[in-house]
Amino acid sequence: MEETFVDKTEEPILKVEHLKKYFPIKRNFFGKPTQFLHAVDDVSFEVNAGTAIGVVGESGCGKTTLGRTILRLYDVDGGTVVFDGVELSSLKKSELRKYRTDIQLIFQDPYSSLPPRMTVGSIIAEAVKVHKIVPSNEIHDYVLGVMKQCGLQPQYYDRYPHEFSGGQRQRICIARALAVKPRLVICDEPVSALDVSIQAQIINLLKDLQRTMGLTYVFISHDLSVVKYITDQIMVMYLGNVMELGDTERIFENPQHPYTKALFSAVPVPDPDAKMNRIILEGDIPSPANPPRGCKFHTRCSQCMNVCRMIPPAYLETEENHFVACHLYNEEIMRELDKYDAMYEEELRLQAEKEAEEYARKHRKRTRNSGSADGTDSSIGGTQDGTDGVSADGTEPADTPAGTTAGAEEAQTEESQVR
Amino acid sequence: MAKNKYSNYISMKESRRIIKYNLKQMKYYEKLKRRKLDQSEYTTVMQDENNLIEIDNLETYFFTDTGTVKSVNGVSFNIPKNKVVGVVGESGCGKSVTSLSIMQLVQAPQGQVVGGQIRFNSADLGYDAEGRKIAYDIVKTPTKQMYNIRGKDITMIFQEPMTSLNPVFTIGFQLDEVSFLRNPTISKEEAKEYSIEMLKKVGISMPEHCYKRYPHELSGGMRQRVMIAMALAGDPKLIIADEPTTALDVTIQAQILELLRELQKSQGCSIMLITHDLGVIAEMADEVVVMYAGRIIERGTVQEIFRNPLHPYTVGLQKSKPLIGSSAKEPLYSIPGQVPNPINLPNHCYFRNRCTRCTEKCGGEYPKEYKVSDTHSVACYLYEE
Repeated sequence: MEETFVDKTEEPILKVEHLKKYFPIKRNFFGKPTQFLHAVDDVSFEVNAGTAIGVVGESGCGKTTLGRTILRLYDVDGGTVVFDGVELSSLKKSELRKYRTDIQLIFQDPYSSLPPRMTVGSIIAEAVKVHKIVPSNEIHDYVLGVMKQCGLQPQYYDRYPHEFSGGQRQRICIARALAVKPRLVICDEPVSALDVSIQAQIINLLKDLQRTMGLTYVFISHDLSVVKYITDQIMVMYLGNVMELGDTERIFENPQHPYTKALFSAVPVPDPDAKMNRIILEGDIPSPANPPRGCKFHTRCSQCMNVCRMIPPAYLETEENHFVACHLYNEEIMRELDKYDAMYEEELRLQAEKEAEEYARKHRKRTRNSGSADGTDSSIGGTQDGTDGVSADGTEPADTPAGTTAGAEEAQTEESQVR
Repeated sequence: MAKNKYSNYISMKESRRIIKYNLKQMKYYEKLKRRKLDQSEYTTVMQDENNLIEIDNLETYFFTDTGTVKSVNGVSFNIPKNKVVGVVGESGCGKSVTSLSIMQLVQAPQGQVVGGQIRFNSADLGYDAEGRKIAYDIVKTPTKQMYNIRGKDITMIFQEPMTSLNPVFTIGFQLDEVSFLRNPTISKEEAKEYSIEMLKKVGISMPEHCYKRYPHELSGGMRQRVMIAMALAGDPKLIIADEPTTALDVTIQAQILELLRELQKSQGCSIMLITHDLGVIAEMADEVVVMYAGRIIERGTVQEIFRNPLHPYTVGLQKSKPLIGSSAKEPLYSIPGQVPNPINLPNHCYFRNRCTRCTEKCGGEYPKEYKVSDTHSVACYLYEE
């Protein structure tokens, strides 16, 4: 335990760099994946020992996947996870086992994450036995000690999980995770399934344990107000990308990304007189299988510019330890907005032309079938005459003269310009 | 070991006794439901004509194998016309069962409404000889008569939209069903038109496109919008919203609450909003009912409940909610202990073991509701005057 306090100021205990996790959603004939769901896309952060980082975001933004990828419950698709100087992402399974006791996970739903046929004592003792944390004759006392720490009475040792309420079960989950003396605990929405009065108990328990045991937390939650009580740093995620990362106080005082601002204003305040100047986001979160180009948030952003539709924003340090991924804070881009507007318009024009060409290609066959020179007269008349020609003549010449196709093409470009 | 005071195991003999008792009770109440009634027998008179619903001493029990659970134990409150009444409480406090009792949808035969009255002020009943408004007593109303009320006069929005929409029918088909319920004489085209109009009303951008979709093709927020459209299609007088935003994200929750508030104003209906989130209540409700272990412990207007909470539970609940604006330095206030076991509740204040301001008197009978002002009342001995 002492070492964790030593490197509190020096090396971060967990360092995640450019982490990527893609899930295949479509495979081709040979079983090779052709389309991916970008669950976690280029996420980097550091956590110092004894502190906590909060991961906030809507459902489907990849927070849970991030937690599980750090634990190597999912294989890493890119980037590195460095825990205490060791790169976890490239370790073999047998080597990884040594580090399993150092990182533990607390699940969201205490109703489904406890085995119903094991007693509380055996649930907590199981991992202790496997990893030989204490000599086998001391296990019983050790488990009782851990239970006491987590606010569980000793007579619960022989009970089954179904006899407990949600809050007590979450305490069992916490005790199970802490029994193997971890240094990093990943809390995956530990309080969202609990009632308000129980929620406060669990939050205080987690905070006390952090102080007494020097734990490091990665605290995943969708509830901003809960995160505030536990974490030192906050990372806001959206569609697998980090939108904002910074110290908790700074983010709460001065949220910068439009998404963070909207998230803050969406939380209902228990005060009937509170002023309602809320930013309501339009629409839904886009599908992560087909994320929008450029900034992933641009489809719902109230301050969306043309740049956002083309170029994904880079991370900028606007204050000390406060990173934002938004073009609004990039002076270089803001200075040259006109240039980007022009670029975007150019792109739109090119795209329209491309579409028109596509349309032309689709309809060329029909015009070719007409086989008459009438096509050159007018743009719309070309296709109409063509269809008329088919119905009138009935039989078509197998080979079409080169001149006709050229004429038809001309007609089509004319048509596209009209459109 | 097994018989110490902490264990909640029951002996075989005890268990057999409970099951026998339950069967007798359930048979009795099921028989009551099946007998034929004259209209005069299931109608009563309203006490106040301006109320839409008057719930009077409602008792809903569940006969389980471990004992009788008094889910709703003598609850009375009113829902006035054109008002939003919020019901708050922790899980298992009986707020959902109260709403299901209003709809006569309590899981039978183990769940039964055993006493009390729910008076529903329906427009198609006139006045009696003394000029009082006649109302349905929903507790006694036969199921056939309930078909005319459910989905038309009283509708419900459920918590989890995926499980409450039928996955094998299109959105349009399910919406048309409600349109036909509202007016059985209309043609298919008219029903479709009306359904699409409803979808437009709840802010779905491409209603014609959505009409042909299946529920799984829509996102959570869209599904909840469809549920609201279905609830609105019958031109209801009361919408019961049972945790309408719990399963949704905060940003979507903000959209849905905004929509509900607008629709309530434009349609002129009442909403009974059930939630455990005090923030949602503060934003939406006009009147608040706080429930704990099957009983109402405090009620009043929003201002009274949030500005001047009286019951120690209400105070604790508000203090234990983490706030964005508050300081995170000091530890969060938490109510000690947990909700009591709902089986065989003692005859004293249920909150006594968790209360910080408990006095000797609290060991006595369950406290009555003491009126503090015209609208504000609280069930606690501290305010006995």
